[in-house]
Amino acid sequence: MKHYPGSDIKNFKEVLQISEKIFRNIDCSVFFSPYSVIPIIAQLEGLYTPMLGSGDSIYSIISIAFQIEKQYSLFRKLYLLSLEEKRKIIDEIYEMIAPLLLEEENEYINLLTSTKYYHTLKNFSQKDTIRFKNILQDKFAVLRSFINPFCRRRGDFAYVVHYGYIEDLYREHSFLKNLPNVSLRRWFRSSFPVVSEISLRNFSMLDSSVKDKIKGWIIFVANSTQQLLTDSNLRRKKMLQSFLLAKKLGARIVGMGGLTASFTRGGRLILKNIKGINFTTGHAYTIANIMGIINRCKDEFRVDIGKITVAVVGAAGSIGSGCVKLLVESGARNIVMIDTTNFISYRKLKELATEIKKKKKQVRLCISTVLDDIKKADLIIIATNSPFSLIKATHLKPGAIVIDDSFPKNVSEKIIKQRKDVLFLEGGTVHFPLTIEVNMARNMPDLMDAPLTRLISCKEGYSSFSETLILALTNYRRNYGVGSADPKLAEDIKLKADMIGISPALLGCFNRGITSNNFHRIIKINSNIPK
Amino acid sequence: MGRGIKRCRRCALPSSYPGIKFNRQGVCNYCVYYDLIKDRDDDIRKYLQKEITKVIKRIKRRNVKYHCIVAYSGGKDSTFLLYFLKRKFGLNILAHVLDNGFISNQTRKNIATVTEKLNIDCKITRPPFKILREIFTYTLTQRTSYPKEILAMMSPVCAACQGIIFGTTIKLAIRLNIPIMFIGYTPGQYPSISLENFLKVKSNVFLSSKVYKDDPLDIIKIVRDPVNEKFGNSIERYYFRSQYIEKNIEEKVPFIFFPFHFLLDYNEKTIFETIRKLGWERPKDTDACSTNCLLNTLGNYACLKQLGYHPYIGEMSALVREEKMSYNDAIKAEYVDANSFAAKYSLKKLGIKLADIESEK
Repeated sequence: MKHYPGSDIKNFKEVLQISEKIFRNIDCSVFFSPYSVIPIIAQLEGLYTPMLGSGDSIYSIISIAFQIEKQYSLFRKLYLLSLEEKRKIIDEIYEMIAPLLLEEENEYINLLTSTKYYHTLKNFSQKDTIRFKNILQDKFAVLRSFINPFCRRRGDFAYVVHYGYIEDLYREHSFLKNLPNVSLRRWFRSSFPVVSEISLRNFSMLDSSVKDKIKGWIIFVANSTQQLLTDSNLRRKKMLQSFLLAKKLGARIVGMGGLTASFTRGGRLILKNIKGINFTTGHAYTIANIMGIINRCKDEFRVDIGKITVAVVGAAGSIGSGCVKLLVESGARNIVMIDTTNFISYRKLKELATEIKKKKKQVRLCISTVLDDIKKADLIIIATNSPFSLIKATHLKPGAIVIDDSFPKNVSEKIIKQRKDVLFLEGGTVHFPLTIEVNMARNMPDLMDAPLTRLISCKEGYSSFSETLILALTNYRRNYGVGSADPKLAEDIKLKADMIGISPALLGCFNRGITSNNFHRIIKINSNIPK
Repeated sequence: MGRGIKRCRRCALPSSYPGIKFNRQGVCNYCVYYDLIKDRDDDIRKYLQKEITKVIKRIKRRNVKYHCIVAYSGGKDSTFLLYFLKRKFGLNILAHVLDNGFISNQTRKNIATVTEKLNIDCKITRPPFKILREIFTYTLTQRTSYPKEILAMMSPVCAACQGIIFGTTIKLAIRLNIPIMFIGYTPGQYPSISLENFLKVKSNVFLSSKVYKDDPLDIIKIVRDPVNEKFGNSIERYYFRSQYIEKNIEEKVPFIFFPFHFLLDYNEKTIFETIRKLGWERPKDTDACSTNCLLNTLGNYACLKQLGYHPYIGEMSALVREEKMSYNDAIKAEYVDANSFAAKYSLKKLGIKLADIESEK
């Protein structure tokens, strides 16, 4: 008999049929999407066991132990499958849900045959390849009927983010390493998003309008920053696909992580193409946080922001321009606005300078397209779209403070090691109340510079992600911050965050906390520099 | 714990324990779950017993100074482990002791006596007490971000210390090219074992250049991150990063085994009888739940006051389910004497008061 790649269709069907019988006797209202039930199936199969203490997590079979107590003989059958087969079935279910919800089953099947299973299928006859495609169609049919009862509920939020580096994608999808270039390009063009479901609860309810628990999905676009930056068709396709998936899952508000806001032109692309979806760019809270870090630096260093020079790299962008406006309002007098992108950016900088000059004539604004001008600054804010590290060690003066809010980071770890005389801080990370409980259906990809798993271990998250959660918790049902960042929204979201108990995280960089020793070293360097 | 508290009729878990629910008969969901997976766990246990034995035999053929490193606390379980590995397998063992500043004097004597008697080399790591004091004071007096699944097994201060034990022992194993690490967890202390996980990395702990997608709780990462966030670079030397390990390091990372889960049956009576013959004596200054660490009492007290349950009750209730401990003994073992020598000594050494723990910030 021909051996087809993937799980055996009989086993695939059996797992879903048995699971369906088991779930029939359970109150399924706790599960809010097909992704909720996959960890339970994996545990019924005996693929892994839940931790102690997880008895109230919807992703742990301990929480439904009473309801499945009498069905032991049913799921004992699942356990008897081989480990390899169980793993294949679980991974296939995870992968197939997104194309199923997007009604792109055929695209998924074609993608699979030309990429993931390319090496196996190239030796198959055409007849066998067609037979294999039919098997996949059958699997979709079984899965469709299984997931239907779990597709009727809604979640509170979704958060669309993309991979930072190509290496992250290779790590996540190991088969990519062995693909020929044609198949590789095809996969990058047509891959489907990776989804992690997440539920958060135990937020303190100081205000009755704030929810105490929310649930949603993190949708990872399976492309790197550089791929999305350099290919406008790819960008458009992948962004629309991910937001549509968020809508199909039933997210009430969708947040934008990484450069998603830029890729959707501040959300305008979504506004034009997908109706009935509310979103937020995440910029307002990001700006509020950068300003929060600056205020903390002011306290630590006793720096008079009116007397120092501040450089904003990426000042023509939404976050950069928002920061410039708020810096002016908080008393900055010397600002270097840098943007190296193109002529349009330069024009935007000119317009921004004119707008500021109308309100505050005494502010000295310098417009620049050259990174060397960073050297003039004591405080540098970096908020660019660059897919690689722009900042070089030679760009920085001794004693400078650098706040890098870019994704991927614009300051490499190498520079941090080289320049001990400069203080590097990560922008945009916030702390959730320590009382909250976070449960995830599956581990998220721990992207190189975006360790979202810190949400579980440290109750930390990105400000753009937090903005999405804040709006979901406060039941916000409109678009928030479409287009350029509005500094007034930064104030608004900060108030909402304060109400929930979300605050800026401890200062740090590359997963390392900044201690008072780091501050003292910089103060010492600055005091030795002749004024 | 109050007398009026509701408990599982079968295993004594209290209603304050994370994620607990009771059925009409007053039996908890953890007991029902245990019954459901018991057969399966027995299968896994037998399977892994063979797998681990194979790995040990393969490593034993190597001409190396040490076949394995044992995270040795001087307590009853790890002492028995040294004996078992030496006598049953004849391994060349390096016993690694983390001196956290709270090892009982009797335990120090036990460590010296046992390692000498078994002719085992012993290496002691002593991180600067200033750093340890900061970490322990923080985890005892302030609310940490450890998830409830961790706190269902151990107190926050124990979690922070476990991270250092893992970190320093793994780093030492890498440095000395030691291929296996053993740690003496009892089945109740660390109950969740994934067979698939084990077969992927041949280890009870997932240390890899990848992320294990179906295990949202990576223990080593989770016990490290909150401390790292608070103390930054100063603790880096003592903790280990478990995911996305560099390829050249991944090859040197030891296989980590919890032998009480698979290799040998856990029987407390036999353990005590055996180790006494090695000259091991039970310390008189530690509490009922520990046979080595004086700080344990404060950790238990903090957990009771702050979370409402004893951090060992999960482990003890597992032993009750397996009929290796009586229901009443489990409840008795929950008693924490905040006026004991161990508690007073620890408070004095850390420079804190009992009230600091009670009024967690």
